[in-house]
Amino acid sequence: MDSHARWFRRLLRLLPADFQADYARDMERTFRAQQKDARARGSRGVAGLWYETVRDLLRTAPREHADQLAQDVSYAVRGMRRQPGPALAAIATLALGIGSVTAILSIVNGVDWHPLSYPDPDRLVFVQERFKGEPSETTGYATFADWRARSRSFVEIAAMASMTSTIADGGEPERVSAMRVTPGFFRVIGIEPSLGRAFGDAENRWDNRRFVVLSDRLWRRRYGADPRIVGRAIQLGGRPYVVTGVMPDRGEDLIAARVFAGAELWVPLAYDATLPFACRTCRHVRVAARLGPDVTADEAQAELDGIVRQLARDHPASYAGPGARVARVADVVLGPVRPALYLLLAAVCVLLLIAGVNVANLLLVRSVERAQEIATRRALGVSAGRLVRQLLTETTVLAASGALCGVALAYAALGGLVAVAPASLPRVERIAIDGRVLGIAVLVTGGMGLLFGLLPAWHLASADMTRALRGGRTVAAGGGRAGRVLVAGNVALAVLLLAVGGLLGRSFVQLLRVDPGFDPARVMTASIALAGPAYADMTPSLAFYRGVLGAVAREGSEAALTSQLPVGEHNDRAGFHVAGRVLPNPEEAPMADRFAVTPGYFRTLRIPVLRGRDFGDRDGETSPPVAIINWAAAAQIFGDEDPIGRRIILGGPDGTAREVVGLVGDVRHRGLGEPVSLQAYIPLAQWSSGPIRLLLRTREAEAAAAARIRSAVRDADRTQAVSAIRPFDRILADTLAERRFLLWLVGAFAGAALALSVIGLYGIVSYVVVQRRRDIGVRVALGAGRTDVARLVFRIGMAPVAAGVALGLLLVVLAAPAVEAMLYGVERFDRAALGGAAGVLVATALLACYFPARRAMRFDPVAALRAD
Amino acid sequence: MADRLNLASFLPLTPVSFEILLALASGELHGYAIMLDVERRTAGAISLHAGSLYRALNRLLEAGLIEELDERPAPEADDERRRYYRLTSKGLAVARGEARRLELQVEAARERRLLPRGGS
Repeated sequence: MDSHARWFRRLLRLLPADFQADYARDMERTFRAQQKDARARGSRGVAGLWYETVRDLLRTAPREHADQLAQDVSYAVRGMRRQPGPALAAIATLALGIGSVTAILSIVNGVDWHPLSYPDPDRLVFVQERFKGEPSETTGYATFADWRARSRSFVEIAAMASMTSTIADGGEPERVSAMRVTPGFFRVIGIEPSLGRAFGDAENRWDNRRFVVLSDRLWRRRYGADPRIVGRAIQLGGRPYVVTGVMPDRGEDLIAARVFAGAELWVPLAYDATLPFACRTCRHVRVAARLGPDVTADEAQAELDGIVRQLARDHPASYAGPGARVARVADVVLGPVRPALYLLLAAVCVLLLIAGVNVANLLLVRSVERAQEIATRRALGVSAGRLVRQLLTETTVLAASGALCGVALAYAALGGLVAVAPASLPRVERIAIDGRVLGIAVLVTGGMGLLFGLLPAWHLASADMTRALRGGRTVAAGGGRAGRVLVAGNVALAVLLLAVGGLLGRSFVQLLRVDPGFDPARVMTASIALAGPAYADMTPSLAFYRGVLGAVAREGSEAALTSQLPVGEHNDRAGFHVAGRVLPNPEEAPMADRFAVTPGYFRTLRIPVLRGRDFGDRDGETSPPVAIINWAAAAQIFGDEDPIGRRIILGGPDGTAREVVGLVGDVRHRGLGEPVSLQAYIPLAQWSSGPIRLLLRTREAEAAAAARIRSAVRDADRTQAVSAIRPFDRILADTLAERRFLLWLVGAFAGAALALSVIGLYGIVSYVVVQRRRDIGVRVALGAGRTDVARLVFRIGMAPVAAGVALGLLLVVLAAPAVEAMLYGVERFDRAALGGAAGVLVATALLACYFPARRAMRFDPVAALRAD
Repeated sequence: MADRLNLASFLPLTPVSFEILLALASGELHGYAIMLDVERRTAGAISLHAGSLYRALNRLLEAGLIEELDERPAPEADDERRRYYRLTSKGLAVARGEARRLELQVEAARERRLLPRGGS
């Protein structure tokens, strides 16, 4: 055969199969005729013909394919419009599955998969000491200095410590977080200031250390992005610091944000070996390093182990249980969150699997119903290939619609999830549906569309076509039984999730009802940390406090100061000793939460004074030391004896003895769901200087109260900052933030599982009803009434539901120990929660059975009988 | 009339479709003959090749404007077993409609002096 003809025939394979079947022969003949004429014009004519023909085919083939695709899509859409029920069910199911995976994937992507915004972030490590066998985040400066001197694995290694201070110039005084760092720090993170420079060794000396590098955000916010800021001095903590540089805007700085509480300034650490707090056991410094170009973390670890052993040998007293580890910064900061994140991802993948199986079932049911239609089309000459292609188009359209709805759902859900996300979730700003997430969603959707298309195609290929043509039933694909098992499993999962959600929800409500021990309504709180050399002593501090209290208290408001909020922070615990009662081991003395408060604290918060008195003006700096304890402390330490008049010591057993002058009610300091701790109060005047919290009970609106607090502080001292002005209700609510988030998540999962089981149930019952059309027709012909038919359908549907509910309740029993830890005030077999879950399931299942039942009741028995 | 409404939905025709209908207006032709006719008449401006020709024929067939022949015309004009095509009555009406449409356009072009008046 002519080789030209052979090549032409090969070229024709570019066209759709149907087109080829119709026209291939004619096209070949036409081409042969063209060739004859072309040969007459010589070889250039032949070449020209080939060129034109190939170009023409390359243009025509894609257009022909596109036309067929458009036809298939429009056929699919018409089919869905004719019978919207199953299509909508499939789309809704897919939307749930793909949507939830997309949402969680966005979270995982933003929090964990995005690389940190440092150059070469995998080489950035923390070096953490082990102290008494346990990993410690901080280490002593002297240890760091030895590590630096002796290691070769790092390009640079730096020490960091925290600092909070007040900036007074450039606007309202403001409390800021800062990092104190050694000069190598900027080389470690790989980012140098974009304006000016970082500080060098000359500026890293204790007697010459008042230099600062600003963050881009602070520079813009307080100094209007002044390009001449370098070389100027700013007022930090009442002292001038010279600005040496400004850092570039990098969008995210995980170390500053998560490890150093949102640090916006860098100042030199300026430690040296002679300083007392730079000792080996003064563990308050963190160490970060950058691995050398060809060094792996393991190699650095091995070298570090050797150095640690040497140090332990040379200074055995300083290192108990010595050791150190090299850990990637990403692992340290994100590590705690990862287990929860990936558990969540696994859970939604399971949900997607269930959704996928549900949809496959729905489609299988549909394909059985359409067997006759397909067989007819085959008989009319539509090729098998074309039919499969069309089925695939249908399922892809379905999958694509489901995916679109799913992504929209995910977008909405993410908005809500991010809003309730607890503060412990890092990098929340990076959570978004970006290209990578969408790409994965598209892949999953495409895969599902393909799989779902091939399923009924395979089923139809193996079905008996002649029987189908005559309208008979094709071999049931076992969809009935498998489907019912699936429904039961689905229902069980939904019951489990609903029950757990119910238990958690009731716990949450119980917690909200717990009396915190004081009245937080209409109380504003603010944070003041006096900075500067003027306030090194207590006396000027007390004068400042009195000034602020005087300015802020007014007709109808009450105010007080405390060293620690009654709820929401834990920053002071001290040993509780009774004077004269010597414990054999002082270390075993019970710990009490210690509060330094002004007179009026208890009244402002409505904490009842049960016995004795409140602090007053007579309890000043030079007056006899006094204390007030709470009911739990009195009961535990003094039993039935009256604590008033007894003497206690807070801290070490050889501290100041204080006379107990009052007994107050308990406050749920450790948390609403936690047992009450021992609490001891001392007068603020008899305390040492430190950050304090202002409490203001007022009837004003939030904004007005905040303004009044700010002006009171400003009037007392213009250079001092007040921060964290918040209503107390919000602080209390924040303590429940993680619980609330968990509740939302479980609720969302429960809702999804419920929706999936309802849709799956609807699909299965519809299928069985269609399958047993003849059976129902016979019954009606034999005299069964419409209600009997309905009852039959409900029985078919509720049987797997009942099995599922039973299985689900059993799962709840099995899962109870795991959930118990999170419950509060609710028994794990709480009847309301379990009963409610089962009830919701049964109610929605009845609804799902209603529509197929209605359809069955309308069956014309004659037509049903004739259909076989 | 219902027919006229139906026809309007086909107009305007694509140039290729109209050329094929024109070719078939002179009688029944097979594929290659249509190709040659169009090529000759348009002096190569519209040249059809295997792919585009049969794609257009397929569309015209589906639209009911042309039909395949069961019998062959006079045996002398035939070589090998080829498929012949001819206009349907609908196709004829559509072709006429398109021709009339083009005529109106040409008249308008003459009025606005885009073309010289009188045939030339």
